[in-house]
Amino acid sequence: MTDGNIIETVGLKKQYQDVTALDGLNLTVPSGSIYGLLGRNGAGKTTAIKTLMGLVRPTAGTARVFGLAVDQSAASIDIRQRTGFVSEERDLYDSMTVADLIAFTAGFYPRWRADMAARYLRNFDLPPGSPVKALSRGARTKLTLLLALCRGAELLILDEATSGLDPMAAEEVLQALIGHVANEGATVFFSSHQIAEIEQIADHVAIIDRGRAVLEGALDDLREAYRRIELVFEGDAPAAQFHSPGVMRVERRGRTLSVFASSGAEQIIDEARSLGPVSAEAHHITLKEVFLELVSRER
Amino acid sequence: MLFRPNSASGVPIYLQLIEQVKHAVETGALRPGEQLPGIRPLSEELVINPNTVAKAYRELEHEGIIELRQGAGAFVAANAGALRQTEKLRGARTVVAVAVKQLRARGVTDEEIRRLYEAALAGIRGKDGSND
Amino acid sequence: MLRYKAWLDTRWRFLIGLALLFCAALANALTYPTALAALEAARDGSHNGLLASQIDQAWQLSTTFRGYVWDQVIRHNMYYLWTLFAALLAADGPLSRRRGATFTLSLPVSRRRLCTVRAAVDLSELGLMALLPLLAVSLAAPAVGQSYALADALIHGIHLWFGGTFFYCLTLLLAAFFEDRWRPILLTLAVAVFVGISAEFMPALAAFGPMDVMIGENYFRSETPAWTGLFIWPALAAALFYWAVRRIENRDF
Repeated sequence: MTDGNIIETVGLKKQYQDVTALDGLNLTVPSGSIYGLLGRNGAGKTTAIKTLMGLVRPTAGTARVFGLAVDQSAASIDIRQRTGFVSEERDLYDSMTVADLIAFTAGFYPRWRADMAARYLRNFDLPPGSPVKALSRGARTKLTLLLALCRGAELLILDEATSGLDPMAAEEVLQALIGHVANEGATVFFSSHQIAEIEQIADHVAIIDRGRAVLEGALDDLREAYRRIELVFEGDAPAAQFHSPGVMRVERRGRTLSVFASSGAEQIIDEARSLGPVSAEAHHITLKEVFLELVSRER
Repeated sequence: MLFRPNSASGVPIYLQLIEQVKHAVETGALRPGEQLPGIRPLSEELVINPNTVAKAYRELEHEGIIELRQGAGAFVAANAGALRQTEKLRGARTVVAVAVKQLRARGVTDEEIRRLYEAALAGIRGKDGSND
Repeated sequence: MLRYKAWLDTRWRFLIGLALLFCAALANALTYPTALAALEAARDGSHNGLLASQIDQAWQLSTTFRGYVWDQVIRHNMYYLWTLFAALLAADGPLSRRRGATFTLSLPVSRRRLCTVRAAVDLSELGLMALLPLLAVSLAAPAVGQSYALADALIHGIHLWFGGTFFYCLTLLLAAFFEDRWRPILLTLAVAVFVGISAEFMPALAAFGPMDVMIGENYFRSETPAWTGLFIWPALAAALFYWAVRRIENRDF
């Protein structure tokens, strides 16, 4: 299955003894997209990813990858055969050498690309004879990425792919990812708490907060729909009520009224005319502003 | 490098790319018939999503600025320059219409409006904005 | 690949364990004359009560080399040392934290297969650790003017191995639930020691434990292998193994 949604979760819940890590998570990842999962630390990103990879069993709800159920053993093996994974902690076999680990991993994937592995080994500057435990954080991340990219996977799942990396190494990782998507096809599902990288490469985004998705959609659609409407008045700004459904929040400061809207900016401006503002402007909101807005509102 | 999208600006990247291509056509950096970078190499070079580049190219083709030739790549359309000009003027016309409407609403006469425009073009500015 | 990984993970425990068991058995065999003399001397001393009967028992058995090997090498030595290494191998399984469990679990293999392949490698190593030391005794016996039948070495080795699968799987099960390494090892050893000590003082009870089969008590006394025990204890071990695997399959990592 390549058309439709490559990942789909419905009401996914994960309850640990005293912590609710996922609280009814709904995600839809279209095939061929680069999908960013944005959230604070502890929002549930890693738990969601571990559930998809079959490391963690859901308490309730469903999750499907390639249309297969993640909590069924045989299906999960099939999913993992077709998925490349970069874990948050870059878990690898410390005692093996780089070359040994690559050879070991290759044995599990009939579609392994040895030519690609050789190329990445060179480009990433990874010493084949070095034991894995001697690698720096950046090198470790690149090795984990190499192991994920060379297995002929249709889906790449990355948990905080660039965390702990200097800007140069981070850019190399993103380059390798984009290069892979551009040349091999593959859907990318990656979690991050760094907005900049999501804005750079993602075409879809979901914001996860306290185990739930508070926002999901195509990034360009969000950019075109979300607006901050600034209304300036002669005197003090009136305490106005806006009835458009897209209004998220209204902020009064002196002579300015700021309206944060997720859609319908034009209607809001029309509605605002009756208040008689001196100026009415609609500004683009950055993903960062949307994120801060949505995540803080939950309080 | 010809293109420099800013992913943090809040404006969709594909719109920025479209604008930058149009600007390049206008300034002559891209001439009619010239080839644009391929979708894959461009996305790799800028480290942005290939889908984004594809979207921008599709939109540009829809507007007639570029042509996507099967197997060969993306090329600037022969009449791209002219199209851009028309579009530019169309936008400009709207700006002027709005300004004139607003000034008339304030009670400024047409003669005064004409003089204001001429003064602005000539770069002369009095203390209260008048001509002498 | 999984077998290779299992070997890499266990080779040091295997080699060290094998070396220890091997050298201990060999040392015992080669010091037979000295040991026998010491026991005779001890026997002549005026001890009484429990200690006296213990020494007497030991001397009785050691009058034959076969009895000496059974009592000193197998019962008092290999039973504990072999079980220790069985526990050491089982407690640090394929999915223990240190060794890249997240990576392993992201590979396209079932947890069941991981556990099974690892158990097969472990048990093969434990088999060698049970057989080779006794074979060494057979080969070394002539050096002290004695002989130890190859058949005895093989059959006792198999008894220790088969019966001992119980302790291996017990540790495996404890490790699946406790999620740490030390408690499963210590608990299993505690059970083994308890069984061992109670066998000395309450021989009737010993028949219900795995020790009798492991030391090949029946075979030693009557030259008949303990067929029932050789079937029951591995079967019980298999049940524990199945339980452990189910637990691991349902665990979150």
